[in-house]
Amino acid sequence: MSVKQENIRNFSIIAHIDHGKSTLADRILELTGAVTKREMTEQVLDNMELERERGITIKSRAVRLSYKSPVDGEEYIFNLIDTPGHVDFNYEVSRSLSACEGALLVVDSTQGIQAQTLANAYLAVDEDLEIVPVINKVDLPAANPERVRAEIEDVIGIPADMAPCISAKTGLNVEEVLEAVARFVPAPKGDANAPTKALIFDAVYDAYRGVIVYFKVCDGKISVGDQIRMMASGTSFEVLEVGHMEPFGLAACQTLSAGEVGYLTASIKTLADARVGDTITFVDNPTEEPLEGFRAALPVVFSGIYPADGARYPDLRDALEKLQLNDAALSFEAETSAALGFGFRCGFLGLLHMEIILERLEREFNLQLITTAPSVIYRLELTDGSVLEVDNPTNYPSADRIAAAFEPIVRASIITPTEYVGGIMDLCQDRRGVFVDMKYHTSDRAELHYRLPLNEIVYDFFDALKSRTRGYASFDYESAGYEKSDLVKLDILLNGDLVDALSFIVHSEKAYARARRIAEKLKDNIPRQLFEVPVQAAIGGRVIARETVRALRKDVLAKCYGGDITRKKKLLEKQKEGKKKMRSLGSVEVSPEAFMAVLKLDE
Amino acid sequence: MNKTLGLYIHVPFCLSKCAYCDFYSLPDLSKKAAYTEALCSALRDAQSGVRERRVNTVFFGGGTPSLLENGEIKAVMDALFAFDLTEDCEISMEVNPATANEEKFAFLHSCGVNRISLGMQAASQRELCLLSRRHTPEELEECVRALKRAGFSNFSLDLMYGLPHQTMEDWENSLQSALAFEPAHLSLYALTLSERVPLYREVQNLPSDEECRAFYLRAVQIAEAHGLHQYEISNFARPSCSCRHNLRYWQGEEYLGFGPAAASFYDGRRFTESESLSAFLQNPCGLLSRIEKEEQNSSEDARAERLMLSLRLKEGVEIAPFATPAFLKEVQALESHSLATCADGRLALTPEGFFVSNEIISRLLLSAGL
Repeated sequence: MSVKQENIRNFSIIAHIDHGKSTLADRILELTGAVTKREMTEQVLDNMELERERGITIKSRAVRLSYKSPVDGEEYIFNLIDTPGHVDFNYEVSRSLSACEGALLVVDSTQGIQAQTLANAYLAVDEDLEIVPVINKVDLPAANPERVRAEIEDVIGIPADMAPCISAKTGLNVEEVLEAVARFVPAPKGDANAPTKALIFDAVYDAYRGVIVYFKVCDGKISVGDQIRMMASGTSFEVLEVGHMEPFGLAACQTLSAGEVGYLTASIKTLADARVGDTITFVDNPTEEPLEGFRAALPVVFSGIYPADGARYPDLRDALEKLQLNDAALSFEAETSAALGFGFRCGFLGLLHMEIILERLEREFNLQLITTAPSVIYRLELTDGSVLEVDNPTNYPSADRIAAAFEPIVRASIITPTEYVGGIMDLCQDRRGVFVDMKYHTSDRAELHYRLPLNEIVYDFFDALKSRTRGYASFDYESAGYEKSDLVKLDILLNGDLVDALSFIVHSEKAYARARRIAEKLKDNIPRQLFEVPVQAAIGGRVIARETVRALRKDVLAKCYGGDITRKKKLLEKQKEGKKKMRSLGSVEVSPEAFMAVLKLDE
Repeated sequence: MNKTLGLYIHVPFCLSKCAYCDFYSLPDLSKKAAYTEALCSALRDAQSGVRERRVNTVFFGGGTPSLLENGEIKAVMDALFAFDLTEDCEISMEVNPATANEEKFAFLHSCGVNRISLGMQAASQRELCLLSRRHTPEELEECVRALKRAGFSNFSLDLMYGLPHQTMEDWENSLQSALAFEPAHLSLYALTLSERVPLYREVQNLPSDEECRAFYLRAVQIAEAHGLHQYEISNFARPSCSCRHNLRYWQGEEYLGFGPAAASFYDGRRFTESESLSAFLQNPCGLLSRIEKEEQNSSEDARAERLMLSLRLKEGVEIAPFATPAFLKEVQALESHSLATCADGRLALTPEGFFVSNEIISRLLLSAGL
């Protein structure tokens, strides 16, 4: 089927989490006949188990649909490009959006604009997309479409008078959305006769075909047999297959031309050779300039990951390797902890990314894990004039070698019902936040901006925010560079032995409170041992908090009646098995659960 | 004929269940005669199958063995005497002070019972009521006098500590009262409440672990001062008055257990009868073939058992068979904290160590790779 470039519509759906992005995608697939209702038992675009449970999309996909407009009778090709919905994947979102000419901005009419609505809308504006607002969930009793319409106009500054009011759940007015795409989203520009230039917006690893590259042809054509070059990674390949993405798989064809979205395979062995954002061109007659906006996805949050059962270290390595095949942003290298044994230092794009990886390791690979407190990358100017970047407290140099320390800062935006503003301010204050400004979206909803040190939000900020606002606030952040900071390394000693896995970097003002807290937590979570165990928290050599785990006083089966040894044996066997799972921290045994409990500082 | 054998007889009847007790017994005496008959069949059946072993200990436990009528006891003793008993065979019976008088003791003595274990439990009326024991302190005193008059010099008293509201003074009082009767043997048990017993739900104000430990250590001190030496976690005796049947459990010697819920160790196999009187009545015979169906302990199992059982004894365990570097490191730590002593190649727990022996033993097993 030949495609008229002016009838192609490349678009994404952007929304805050749970505002109905996936449900709308399902309805669009149904209405265009790509998928029947019966096949729609699952949301087609999100096909990872974890994604379905969390209601979020982790990896973007794209699907090609055809639409015959009842208004002008024209046949359109819709390329619906799905985007990951979370701040950790901002870069991937921006690349997906950059493959589009328009975006449907879905807003829940019961909730209005939320933090990710704004973050995603700004990304779309940055990519010069035509934004088509869609007001969803109008079937719910709490829906207030007119208020939301006004809010979109006031806060985002785009006209919303034509915005379809729909219910993606029931299908109400969804056909208006399709027509709006045809009407308002511009056709892709680009010259099919110019030197080839295509944008990689996603890539997945397939065990049989190697990397499958998802791309949009900006200029020129790509055909089977072409010799292509990835401009940023500098690697060259021969195209083996090109085609379109159908809802249930790939459909090969001969050629894709300017404006079209599709996939290719070329015996590409690793995702590093087909990075999101890279530009594809030809080896011969290349384009002069690559597309703008490419950057390598760099991890910002780091954590040590260890198998709870040390014998499963090789399994953990295999699992991480498998995950990395499909997630170039996940980095890991082997590390050894005196306390936890063999494990890996892993780097993540952010907290959600970390949580997802941990959950997949536990769920898909059936691993029980111990993780150390997440760390960010600190930048240190040393007294010898050199600069050191540290993402692992174990490698933090002693205070006398540090001339100045810098920590990463984020610009955080929190949208909340006004009644929670006070609680959020307390929380941000407590996390060393610096107030920037506050705007009212409506009389009862406000948007706060804070500058926050990343290390204050990497652990339990989301949970704390959720509990203080009963889940009504939404949160988003973007990197805002590094700032000089007064940082110290806090060490934990059990029975006089340093437990490397428990060390962390903290602002000096918060060191005492954190030290006391962690010492108490250890005291409460370490089971009584045969001997008394002193728990100390220290900066440098100076102990700043101290607790004692009292000695076990009674653990005896005094009566063993009538020689029934079996019962006693079972009891000891159970006790022994429990011990096998324990990790020795110095001379002290701690269960993985206790270890994790210690790291959760917020009640 | 170099092996010895112990016989344990479980009498699963009581006048009423004590509030703390989790052992198998029924407060219904109607099946007593049928039980006795089944027991005699069981004993005769086993006797015909036992080879190359002489019986040197017999223990009647329960339940309340002293609830058996004289005629019933006589029948059981006759069945027992069919075994090849040694000259000095120790024959013990647990007696509830509320169920025995001088005549009963005299009868037991005449039948061949030569050791009595008396369930004193506590000295004060308040504590006895709390445990729902049926005897009074006065009845206990009378009972001890009666058993002595009947000719028993080898008797033991059971006491419990860690009772609700118990103070050190209460406990010392119990100990002193018991010692005043000049028993040859003392068994001291910490109250351990299973979730299945009534007292579990009712009690509050149990002494802390710390207090229980103090009670225990004080008891060891007082008993030793009265010439009753600790030979096992919970047991104390005058020289050569240790309960030989009790020792065999910990020394890995063989025993056959008769009656519901009774445990056996025979031919390297462990076996426990089901907790059901009706099952026992239906099928009293065939104990040896039931044991035969169990798997024999592997040599690893046997070593692990030796370690865990021997460490209940004052004499402890030989170190050499377990001496991995990790084991020796544990031993050193235990010694340095006075939880154990090492002498003549043996590791033995101190009283402080006994009181946390589960933890110690599981650590040692792990360090020995068992």
